[in-house]
Amino acid sequence: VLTNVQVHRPTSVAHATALREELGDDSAFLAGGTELLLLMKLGLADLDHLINLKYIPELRALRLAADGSLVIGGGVTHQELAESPLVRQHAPEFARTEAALANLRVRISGTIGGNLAFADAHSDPATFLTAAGATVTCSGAAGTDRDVTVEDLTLGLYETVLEPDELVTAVTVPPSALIGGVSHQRFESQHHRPMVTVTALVQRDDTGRISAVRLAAGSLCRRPLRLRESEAMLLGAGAEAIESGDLDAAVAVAQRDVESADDAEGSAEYKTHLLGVLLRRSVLEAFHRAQKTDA
Amino acid sequence: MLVDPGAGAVGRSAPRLDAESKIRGTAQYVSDLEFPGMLVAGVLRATVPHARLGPVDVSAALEHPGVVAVLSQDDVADVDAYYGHVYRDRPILADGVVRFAGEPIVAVAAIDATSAAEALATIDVEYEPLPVAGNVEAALAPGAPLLHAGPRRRGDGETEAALTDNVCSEYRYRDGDVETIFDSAPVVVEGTYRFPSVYQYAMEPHISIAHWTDDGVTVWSSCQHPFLVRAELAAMFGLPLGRVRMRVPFVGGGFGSKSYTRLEPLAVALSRKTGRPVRVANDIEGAMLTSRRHNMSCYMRTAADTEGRLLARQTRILMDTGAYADNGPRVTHATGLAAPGPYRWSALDVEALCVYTNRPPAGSYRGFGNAHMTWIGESQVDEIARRTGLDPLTIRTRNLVGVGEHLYPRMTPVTTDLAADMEAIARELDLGSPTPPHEGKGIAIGLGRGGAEPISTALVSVDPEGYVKVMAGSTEIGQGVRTVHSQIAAEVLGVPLGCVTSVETDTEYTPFDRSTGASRSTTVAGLAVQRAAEDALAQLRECAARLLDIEPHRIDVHDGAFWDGGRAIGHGEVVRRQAGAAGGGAGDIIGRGSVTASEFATSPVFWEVGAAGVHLSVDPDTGRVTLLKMVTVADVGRAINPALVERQDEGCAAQAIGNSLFEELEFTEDGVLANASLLNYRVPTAEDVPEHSTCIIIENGDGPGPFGAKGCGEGVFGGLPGAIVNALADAGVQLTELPATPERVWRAMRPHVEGA
Repeated sequence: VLTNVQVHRPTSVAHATALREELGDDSAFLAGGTELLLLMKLGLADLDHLINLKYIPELRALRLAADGSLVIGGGVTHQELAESPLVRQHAPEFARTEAALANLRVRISGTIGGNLAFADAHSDPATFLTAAGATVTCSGAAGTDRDVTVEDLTLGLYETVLEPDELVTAVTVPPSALIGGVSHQRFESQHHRPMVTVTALVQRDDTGRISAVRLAAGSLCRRPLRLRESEAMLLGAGAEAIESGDLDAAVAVAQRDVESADDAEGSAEYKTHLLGVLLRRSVLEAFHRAQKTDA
Repeated sequence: MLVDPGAGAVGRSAPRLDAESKIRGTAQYVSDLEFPGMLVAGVLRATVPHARLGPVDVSAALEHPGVVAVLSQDDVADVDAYYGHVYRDRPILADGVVRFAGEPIVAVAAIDATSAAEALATIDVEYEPLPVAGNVEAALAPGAPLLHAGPRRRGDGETEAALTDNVCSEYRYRDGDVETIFDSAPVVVEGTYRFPSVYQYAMEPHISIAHWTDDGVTVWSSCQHPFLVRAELAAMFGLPLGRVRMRVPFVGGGFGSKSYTRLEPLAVALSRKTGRPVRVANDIEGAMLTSRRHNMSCYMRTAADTEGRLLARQTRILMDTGAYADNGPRVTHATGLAAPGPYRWSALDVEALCVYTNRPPAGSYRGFGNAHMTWIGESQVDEIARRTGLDPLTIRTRNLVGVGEHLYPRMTPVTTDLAADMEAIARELDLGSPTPPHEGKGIAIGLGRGGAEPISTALVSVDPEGYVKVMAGSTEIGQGVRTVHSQIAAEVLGVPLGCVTSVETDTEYTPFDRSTGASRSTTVAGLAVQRAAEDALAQLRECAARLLDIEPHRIDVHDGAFWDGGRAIGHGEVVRRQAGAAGGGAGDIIGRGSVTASEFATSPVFWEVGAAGVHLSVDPDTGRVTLLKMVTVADVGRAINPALVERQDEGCAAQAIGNSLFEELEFTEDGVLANASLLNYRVPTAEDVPEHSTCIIIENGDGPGPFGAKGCGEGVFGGLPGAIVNALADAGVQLTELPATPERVWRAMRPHVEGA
């Protein structure tokens, strides 16, 4: 596959983006390669140059910033996130989500930046980070960095707001997403891909009621979506309402707003049904985890 | 520690003799072979399912600097370019008509794969579309396009009249007055069922390397039946059998997909044209388009009395064999034969049609027939049990054919206690104890024909150092046949297993073995090995008696020596001194053993038992099925190597679980394969096998093979899908279509859930 491809190994983001601008359409950034190399193998991408991002130290950051947010370099792999003590401590559900992603070979080579930039609809991290209100830092050849929320990053299937010479250099998870209860739910298709993904982040006040909630759904639709109307309906809900499963209204608006289509993995009807199931499960689990956090 | 230190006694779980080389990566497969000047083939496949071929422009391909030759239909006009062991209906390259999307049209031989791919991309093909029969219903409809016209040539050389419809073959069995019984029976269950087409995934896709020279042709191939392929190649290319040499190193899995002739004719045709070794290899998509399992639809009804005694069964079965017959007629026959299940009946009426369609051809896959059919009959047996107030075990023990009884009047009687097999499963599964909501348990049993045509010859040689070599034509396909054959020889000859090797199949040197399939390599080829070893032992014993100067029958044989009380003479020494030579050297002692079809009065050689039980849970919200526990019975007569028996059951279980729960090749209305990639066709893995799996080995010594053995490894495909379907029903989910995907299960549960 790669016999006629020149692989470049820049050691800085500036160099990588400059190369991308210089080489133009015959080139692409190569992060983990779990998607791009597959496309090339299938003959769906024909490239003369690959700009390998593995040797750029800036992309390897993984730290807690002074403001308490979790900063993840774009080149950090899924397996590193799954195993990182820092992530396990501050975002345990994210670590679990990453640990359950795809298979070991994908986790070891696939990166968080590559995952988001590729914008495959079937993505656990994209749904999770959309719910978390995370932002990505995009760096381009002009040397300008800009921050975009993960929610706004993706426009549709394999389509993002990234310019050709831009790459995802970092993902920042805000401090507000690192407290309270978090639950990520996924349903795998018969092809072992996430078919429906839902993430819920819940905070509760001292009376036990929901004081903040963020929800996102993905994989069944073209891009991950925040479920803002459902969030609003759950604000103020107490244990009685949540535990009795009285989420019908919030689930119904989510099912109304998230558009799915029939495909080889399942019917839109079934996937929309699963959205409801997973939304109930994630809210319930996040709610209980929030209680534990407070206790 | 992979080296086995002990004696080669049969019945011991000796480590596989090929384990170390496979783990270290030194074991050679066809793909590892390199030859000077070897070319790589590329195959241009049709993009439409049914069309007359217009002009094919290969001029640009011929000009590609890396291309040595382009092979078109014209290049094989001087040979008999058709193959097919039942019906010789399949051309090497599309013969003016394309009959399925994916059919090879043109092939190139190039210096490397990139050149081949680039050259293929330059070839223009014009199609004149023909009406399409994309599925069985369309193929049987009035006015359907006829896929095969003209007189039909059979694989055995006979000719049959031309077809007037798309029915490739039929199986019919009628016994007793079915209609009268159904008119009056107090309990009748009926339904229409569907079984998916699936892909017999093997880690190594099909691959063949051919080298045509003035002396004939040598073919290295990943294949299961080298001797049958040899005969087909000889017939096609007009060569004497002895001028076609098939060599089969390790095979990376086959499961039926590599039975009979596959890529070999194309490789031979390309080498014949170029005079150089040519390698033809499938990728995953190519493998799916080369062979698949028949999808099936079936109507079945079963009648019983109020005591749950089975009375009559009627079925109408439609098998989709795709564009060419391949093994379809035999798969269809086996499916019809499996329809009654292992029960006593007053009347039976079975009809199975093998139908040509414009889909890729379908052939063998582990447990064929039994896999298609048993779950259907077994789900009706359970339904009758529910209606008559019986439990699943009782209704079976009440109706199962007993030891010595016949399933079919003129076929081999059943030799084992099937009821005992079911009781063992029920016990292990704790069948009948209450389960929580949304959980269920199920059992099922079927019988499959084992042994195929029992024709095998083996040679066992003992060299002057006492080392033993087994030469048999069975293909080491991952099942461990070389280990098992070595164990058999070691046992007979009384030598440690470490002294025995089994060589790869090479039709030039290894004697004839009909095929590697139908669970026959231990039973039939193994019996030939046993006899060859006994022949060698008799020769050795006679020499040893002379050397020890005692009567041959007074000699004990063990630990690699012939014993007269405390006095011993080793096997090697016997060989060295066989002719009284003192230092002049001596050749091996060679034993010969054969198994012939005439030894067996009836078919099959043995009935392979497929009995299984399952405990599962269903997520009522999503329809996801989780297998909690699985029990299989390996009723093998005698386990030559118990660990290998268990691995066979486990491997078969993984595939049966895949077929039952998620695997399915999907086709468009026009019969075009829609998921020809492992990205959207999931192959089962070890993860899919439940953690709690038990394989109960039953050894009654009732098999016709060596030491009372009979074959195994396919039976689970009969029992397990039925056990899963019955356990689902026990959990409240009635399914008539496989695979039981979450969405299908969810839909089946919905009315039930809403009504509750």
